[in-house]
Amino acid sequence: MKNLRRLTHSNVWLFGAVLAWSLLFLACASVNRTVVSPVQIAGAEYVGSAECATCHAETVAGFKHASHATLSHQSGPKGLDISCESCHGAGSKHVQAGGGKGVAILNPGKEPETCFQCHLDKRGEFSLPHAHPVLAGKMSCTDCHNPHKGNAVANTGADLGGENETCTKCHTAQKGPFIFKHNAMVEGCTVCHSPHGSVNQRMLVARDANLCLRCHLEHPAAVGDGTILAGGADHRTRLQNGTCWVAGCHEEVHGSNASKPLRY
Amino acid sequence: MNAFSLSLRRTGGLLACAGLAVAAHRLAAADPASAPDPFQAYPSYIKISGLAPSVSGNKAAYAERAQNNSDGRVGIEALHIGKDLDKTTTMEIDGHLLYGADDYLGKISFARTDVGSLEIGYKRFRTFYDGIGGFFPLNSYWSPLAQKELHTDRGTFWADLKIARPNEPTLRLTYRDEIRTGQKDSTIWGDTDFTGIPNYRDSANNPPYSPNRKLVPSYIDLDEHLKTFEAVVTHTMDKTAIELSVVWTQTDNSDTRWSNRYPGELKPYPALPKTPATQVIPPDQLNNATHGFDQQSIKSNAVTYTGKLETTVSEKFSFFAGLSYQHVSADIGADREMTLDLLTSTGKTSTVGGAAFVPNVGTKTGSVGRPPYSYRMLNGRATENILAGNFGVKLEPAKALFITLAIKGERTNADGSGDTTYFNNYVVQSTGVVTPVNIATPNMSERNETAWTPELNVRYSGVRNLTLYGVFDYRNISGDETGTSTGVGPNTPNADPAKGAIVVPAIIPSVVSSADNVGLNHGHYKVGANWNPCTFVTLRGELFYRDHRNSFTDMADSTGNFILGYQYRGVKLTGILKPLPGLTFTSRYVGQTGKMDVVVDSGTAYDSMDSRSHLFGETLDWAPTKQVYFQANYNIVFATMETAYPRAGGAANAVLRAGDNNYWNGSFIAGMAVGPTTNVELQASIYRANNYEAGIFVSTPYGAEAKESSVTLAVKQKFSDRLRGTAKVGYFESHNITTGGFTNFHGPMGYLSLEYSL
Repeated sequence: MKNLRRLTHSNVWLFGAVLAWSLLFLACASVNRTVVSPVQIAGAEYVGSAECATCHAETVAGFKHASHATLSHQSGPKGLDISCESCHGAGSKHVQAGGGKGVAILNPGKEPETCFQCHLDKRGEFSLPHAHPVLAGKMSCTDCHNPHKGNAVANTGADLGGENETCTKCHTAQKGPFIFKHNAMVEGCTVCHSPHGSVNQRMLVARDANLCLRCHLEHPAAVGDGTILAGGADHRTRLQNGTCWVAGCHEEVHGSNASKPLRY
Repeated sequence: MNAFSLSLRRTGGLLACAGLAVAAHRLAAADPASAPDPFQAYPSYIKISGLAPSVSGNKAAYAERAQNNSDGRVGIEALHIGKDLDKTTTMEIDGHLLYGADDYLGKISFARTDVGSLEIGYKRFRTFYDGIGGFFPLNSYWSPLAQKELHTDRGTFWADLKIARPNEPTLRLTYRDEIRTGQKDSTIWGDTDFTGIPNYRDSANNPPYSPNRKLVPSYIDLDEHLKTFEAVVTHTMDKTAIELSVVWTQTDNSDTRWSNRYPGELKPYPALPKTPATQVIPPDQLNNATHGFDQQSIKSNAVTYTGKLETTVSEKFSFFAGLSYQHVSADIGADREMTLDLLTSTGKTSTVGGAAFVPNVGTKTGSVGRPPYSYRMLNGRATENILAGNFGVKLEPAKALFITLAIKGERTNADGSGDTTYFNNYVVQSTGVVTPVNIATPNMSERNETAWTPELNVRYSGVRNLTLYGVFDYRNISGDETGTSTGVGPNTPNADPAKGAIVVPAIIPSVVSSADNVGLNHGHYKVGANWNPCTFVTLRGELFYRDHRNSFTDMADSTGNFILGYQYRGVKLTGILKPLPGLTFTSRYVGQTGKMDVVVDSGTAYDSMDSRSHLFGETLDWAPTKQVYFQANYNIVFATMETAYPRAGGAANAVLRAGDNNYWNGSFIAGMAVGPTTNVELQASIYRANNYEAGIFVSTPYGAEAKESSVTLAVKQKFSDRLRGTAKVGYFESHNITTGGFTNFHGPMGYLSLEYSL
């Protein structure tokens, strides 16, 4: 009887879904207008980056040596350079309207979907349980990345600024200065955190002792003696109780002002 | 019943076919010229909305996952007013005010051609945390201490003035005042013995692992304040653009972490007899509860002076240079007070300290494992001076060949010091007498480093529809760092009652000192190509390699050496295929392998990590007709990180596993015009992770495992030229296996909005 009820139940759902879909599609067929997915502009056509430069000369000029300039060969209809419109959408309606903020133009600063067109893996990462709230609309890709000028990952290479500034401009407590800094900070915040999102709390690349053992494990490869050597001591029984940074062990992972081993 | 089922299916199929046939006919006969989009953005508008979830289960977990209050929100979702005040002056007002989500924005800006602009605004938003701890599978232990809807608020007030007169230097003055307050959870969890693992009166009978696990949740009270004042002057003289800036920031942070260790536990006094040996000690009598806070404070001032110039010598040659100097000075304070509960002959005492010793018992009665430490620092200080400069050239030696060659130099001098007073108590359980024991200790550090970073960036797009590029940088840091931290360690227990109450302090100084030569070498290399072989195919590929070696070698001998090296290499591949108008497949693969090795003292190198990750992503965009579109996205990730497991072997393998971060998730959206002024939108999402290591109950449970899904159906309706609305219903559910199901939640949700053109 239970199986029978389940079967009936599933068929009712199936029938309902098919009926609803048919009705929707029927209604849809009676409409003569265009709907587009969120990262397109209905009815707009490409105008080319040269047209964009008439109003946004400074932005277009700076783009020449930006990370995303590797897209600049991309040609649209009539051989137009569409590097601006690759992200901002076809611009004809924006031009016809005489420009204007948000008028018939996509703003990746507000709509991450634009970036997800190519960076589809980042959509997946921002959807994870522990992520910066970009999909919730509280942050945007451009809070951390400048697609128009220089390195998209700011302050890398020969840039003047410090590499961690992208993170510490908001996370000031982790910036220090500390009397005893954790030298992992030299590697950058992303050595421990996955900034777009992670399956782990605090966007950690590992929520367990592996996070620290990557750099602190002193175990000979061939020896299976049951020890976990780090800092000259066997940490096996300590790790039995929890991860490295739990209460009483090495709590101040970003830097300490009282303990060189970063205990507290 | 089967006949009934078949009948339903047949009827459904017939209806679907009829629908499709009629739709196809109508589509074929449709006028190719589209009607205007009824949902075009209004130039000025206000949108009012309400979101109402009905959450069953763990509301705190819902709040964190949805980044929304579990009671919902209501208010102005968006407001935009754009207005031309005269022929050369525009005004814009933006805002939102969402009660419940505590998400607010108010911004007004004016811009006048050939004069400049002014923008003043305030923004505040809330992020939610679930305040949970860990779950222990053996007896389904779940500590409920902190789990509640925690949240932090970020607020920013800003004023930005730009004066931009033609042919004159442009001046920009910006003031920002940012706060971050509230509570968030911490992964620094406290200990408990309520794990179901027995502890016998005779240690010989105990299992080979202790019942103690660090699973008890903790949270942080945030009180952070940052003020920034920035003045920037830019000017272009002939072919040279100059930028001068000064930035002053003032940080005032005082963050407090609240934690509990062994909550609900108190050792009996007199102590339990050791016989019978096979009798289990109740878990609430295994340890003494410790509870308290750790407050870290910093007040810092930083001033940064920067000058940049870029000169265009010709169309094919320009050079740039920059110089900056930053001085940071900080006052540092700390107050860490962990209070230990202890039974004596006169009852329970609660003393700050934690690592109390009882002379007539001769054992440490505070906590198993590391003592909790209590200390206060009132006069800590740190300074940092960073002088940095860069110089580079931008070349276009041939058509479509762009080269940027630059080098950066940086000198850092930093030092810090502080006097720390550790406090503890010496407790005589037989009398209940408590005697404070304080130890003052100094700490200091100094760091001097010089870094050089050359960078080469090459891009060639001279071949039709193809761009080749390469980016290479190599950072070398050399210098020295010294430091001495005088902490405390537990003293040898005094087993002799005759020595009285205050003969042996409970804690003694413990000095950790180092003086190292520093040598860091970080190389980053990537090459790639973007190719459009035809209008419907785009292919992109990139190879990357990172090679780091960090050496901290002891100035005196090799006993303090620490050398870390790692190499990551990988590939990113993207393909975009547009086989039909309205149909796009976007595929992405990112693969990476990594290795790390460690050398300590003068010994050999130890392989400390092997990692592998593979990500496959696919997005399908399909618009079969102009009235409907579909977008589906799918990502699957295989990622693992191995350190000591499995090669450590033996008992170590019961403690550790490889760190797996495997998951897959997907999203789906379909939009459809179902009437002249009506759209329907269906959205769905799914997430699966399966990394939980239930069998490793000897340690903190490992790995994230969860199942989540959601679906919403929305109807968008245009009521008039100035009014439209959206109604949405949906359902969500989340199952978290890592937390033993204690953070599961599910329920329906509803959303309504009205948007009015102003």
